[in-house]
Amino acid sequence: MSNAAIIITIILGFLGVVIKRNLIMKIIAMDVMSTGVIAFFVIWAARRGVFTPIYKPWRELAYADPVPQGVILTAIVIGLSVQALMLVGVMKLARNHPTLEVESIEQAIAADANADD
Amino acid sequence: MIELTLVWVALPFLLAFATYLVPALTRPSAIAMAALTVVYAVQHGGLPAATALPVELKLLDHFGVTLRIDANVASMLLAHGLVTLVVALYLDQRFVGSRFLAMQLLIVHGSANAVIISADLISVYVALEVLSVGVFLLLTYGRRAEHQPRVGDRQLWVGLRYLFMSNVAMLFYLMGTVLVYVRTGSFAMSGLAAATPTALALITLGLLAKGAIFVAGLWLPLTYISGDRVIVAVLSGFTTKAGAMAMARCSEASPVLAQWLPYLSAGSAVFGIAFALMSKTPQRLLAWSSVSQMGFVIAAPQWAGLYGLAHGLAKPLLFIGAAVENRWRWPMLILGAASLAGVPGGLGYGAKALSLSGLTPWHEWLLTLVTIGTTCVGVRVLLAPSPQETMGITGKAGWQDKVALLIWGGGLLWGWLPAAYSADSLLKALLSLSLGILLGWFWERVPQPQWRLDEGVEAVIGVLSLVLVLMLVLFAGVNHVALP
Repeated sequence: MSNAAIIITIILGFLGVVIKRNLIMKIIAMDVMSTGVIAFFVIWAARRGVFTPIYKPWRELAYADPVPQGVILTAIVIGLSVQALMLVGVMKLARNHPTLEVESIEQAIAADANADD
Repeated sequence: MIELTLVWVALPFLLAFATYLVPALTRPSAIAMAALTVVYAVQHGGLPAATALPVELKLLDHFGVTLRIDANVASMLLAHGLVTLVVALYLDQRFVGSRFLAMQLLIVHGSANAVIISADLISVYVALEVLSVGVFLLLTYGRRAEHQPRVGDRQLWVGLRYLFMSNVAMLFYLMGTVLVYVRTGSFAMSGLAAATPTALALITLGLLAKGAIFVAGLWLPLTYISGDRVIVAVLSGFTTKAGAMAMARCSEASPVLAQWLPYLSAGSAVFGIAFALMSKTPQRLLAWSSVSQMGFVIAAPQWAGLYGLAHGLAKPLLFIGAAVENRWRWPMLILGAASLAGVPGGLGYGAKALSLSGLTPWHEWLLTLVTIGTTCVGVRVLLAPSPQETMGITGKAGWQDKVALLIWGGGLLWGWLPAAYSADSLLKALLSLSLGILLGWFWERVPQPQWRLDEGVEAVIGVLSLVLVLMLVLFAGVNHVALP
């Protein structure tokens, strides 16, 4: 059940990146997608058990696997920094393209590129 | 040896951050780092026709996290070192922010090194993401002289597009990684042999997008046209090849991927050259030809490093040669184009002949046909008029151009590979050369259709989903065939 929800989150995020016309919306959609991927890691790590992986000799429990959880921390940090960078880029683009509609930006870029070709 | 490797892996990042404190040392440290990489690569058998024992480093309780340096990788490292060395020379005081660029160059250099020596999926992920952040900053910052306006919207846009594409592709890759981990309990690439088709398809998608192979390389042409020539030299010199090299390493571990790699290679070669032949400007010609050359890099995984070295020296020479106006322009262009087309005597010929020699016949003939197209592209770049505006690449002196010609061109001429000079390969090379030169000469006189692809951000990202579905169908299909 939760697996299906996560896959749907990822697909919705991806669709958002492709379909949304506004640059900010695209970045938010990408964040949704990366949240889905993080949850994907967490759910696979909890496949054999859901208890916090801290070993205590007197507890006989089904622990979650700590490795995917540890690894995904790296991906969370990378995702954050990439988004911060992209938002800075978007801020700079907004100076000349205040609506941030992808179509209008690409038209302006294409006109510029054709002049060069 | 292990200590040296560890120091060498960590040093570029350490230097990059340390130079924030001592900005004056940025460029010298980039040059020194590049020289260190060259020495390290030579020591590990990076020179053509040299061999060395592979070095393997394992973390304690490692879950498969491993570094592995062998002769194949060392050739690519040599390319990293040589390209970084010359590009660092181009970033001199006459440009605003050249120190920042040199610092990013260090980071890009270090992360590209890390990608190709990693033998596990998660290190490759981290290194590829750092690489894309570094490339984004290089692309959007650009070099500019005092009088030039601030960074243009076009550079900013291609940088954002690149970051979008690579981040989405790497998210798919990450999903594949956890699927492999769940199955095998380790992140080692050898675990790919037991991976499900879904995991394999997701991982392949990420690497194809980063390596600009096949239609996943749709982001590449506009990026190369819009970027500063010196930055594009870095991109074409080693950053896309890092993805391709990781791809080649994965295919060595996974028989299913190895079975389909020739088709991806052929697809990329044909797709790239078709659009290269339809292009008009030298920059666009070279950019599309890069997509086609990535197909050659992954054609034979055991020669990927050598081909990467040959192409990684030829392309920067061509990109920079096409933009300079002084008398070093012609030697640069001629050497680069000759190496790309595979004129016997140079490293380009040796790498091409060795890569093609072990392939299945259909693949070999197809790539030989593509070589005719590559020669045609080379001739057209030579015939193209010299640029109106030089993007401020060099002054009148052009000593950097001289050094570039000496190091890159010298590297291309140097490699002597006796194994490559069989009668069969020589005959094929001469045949494709003569046909290609003829074709290139007459190309402008033939009326051509105008093909333009949609290279917008939606197309670039949307194509990823198509590639993913294609990979899923291919890999799942093979498993069905393999079942009794």
